[in-house]
Amino acid sequence: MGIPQSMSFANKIRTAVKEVLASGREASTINISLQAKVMTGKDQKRMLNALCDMTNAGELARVRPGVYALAAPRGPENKNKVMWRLLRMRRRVTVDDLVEMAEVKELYAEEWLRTLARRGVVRKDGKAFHLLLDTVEPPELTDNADKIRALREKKKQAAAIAMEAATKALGVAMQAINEL
Amino acid sequence: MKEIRVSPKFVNTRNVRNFQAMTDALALSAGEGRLGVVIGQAGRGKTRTAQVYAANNRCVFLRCLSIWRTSELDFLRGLCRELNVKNPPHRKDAAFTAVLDALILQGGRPVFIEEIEKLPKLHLELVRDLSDLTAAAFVLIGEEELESHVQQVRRMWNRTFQFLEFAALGVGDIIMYAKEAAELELSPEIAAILHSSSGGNFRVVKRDLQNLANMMNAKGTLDPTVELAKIAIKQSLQGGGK
Repeated sequence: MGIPQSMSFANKIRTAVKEVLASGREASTINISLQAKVMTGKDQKRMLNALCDMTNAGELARVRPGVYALAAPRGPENKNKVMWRLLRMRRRVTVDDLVEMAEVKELYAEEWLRTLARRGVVRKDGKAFHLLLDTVEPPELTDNADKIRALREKKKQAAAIAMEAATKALGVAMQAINEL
Repeated sequence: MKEIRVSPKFVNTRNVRNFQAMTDALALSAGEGRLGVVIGQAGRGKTRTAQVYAANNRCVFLRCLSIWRTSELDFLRGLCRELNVKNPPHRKDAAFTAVLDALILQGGRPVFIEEIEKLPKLHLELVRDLSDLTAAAFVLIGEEELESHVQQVRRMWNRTFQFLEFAALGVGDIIMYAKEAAELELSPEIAAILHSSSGGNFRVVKRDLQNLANMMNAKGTLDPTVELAKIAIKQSLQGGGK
């Protein structure tokens, strides 16, 4: 199938990828360049850049070097990211706003906002939280992860102590049986 | 008795469904610069609907500020920030190029721009250029004046593939909202009363429903009546307990 000349270069590549993928699950750069009629080394580089952009944008997935496939459909968006985007858009949110718009539990939204407030990213003002520091990317919130890690460590230690006691008791029992 | 509580809930009203249909239709014509225009009176849920869509679909949402009226640079820098450009350039052409690059990378997702009617027509031309050069879909959101504002720039109006007016909430929408947010079964009669007093304004409906729930809790009843609804509306208008 011919690709119209009026198309932008990136769109030509996009169309070529779609056409190659229509006949198989994977598309190699060679097949894509043949389909898109990429002739020169300069255009080859432009094609690779376009493929890279499409991969970054989540349209394609790189299976291995030089081979692409359609990206797997995205699952539901990470709720932290959705809440962060809403906070950036609105600059001022309440817990209820997040519950309504990001469809999260009230406790979860409250905890998330409180953590941001502790980090100095937002400031609480009555019921509302104002964005103070727009970091563009959502801040890494590891407070809860640290808490969970400490709890796991504690549980592990307790289990090790219990295991040691059980081994000792088992040894005593075995000795008692042997002495009978 | 169980207490009635109006919980925050985003409800798929007729307007929300139309909005989703509009964005789907815009996606069908991917590959060329195109615009969608969403208009409607304040309080009908345009902004909320667009923000929910944008947040869940990794789209850009930019609210235009009146202070940007004097220069396109601030508008472009605002777009840069929303497109996650970490250090937005301080010159117009560099900022424009940064927006172009970021739009190409974001994979054709629509860009929502609110209240552009507050800005001069030159800003609309900028949006047209960006849409043409990147084939990204732009959705302009605003009040009724937006329609005439866009129509005045013929080249913009030609590219408007989708036009949506956010209508007043219907009686059915109010019944659905009461059911989903407060688990209240409103009779069509009560919903009609809430509808006529609010003029289909979502914010007013929300406030009246909250008052109705408060009154029902105070009376210890689970059955909303026409009388209670009328008192709730009257109380809202008077500003609560005055």
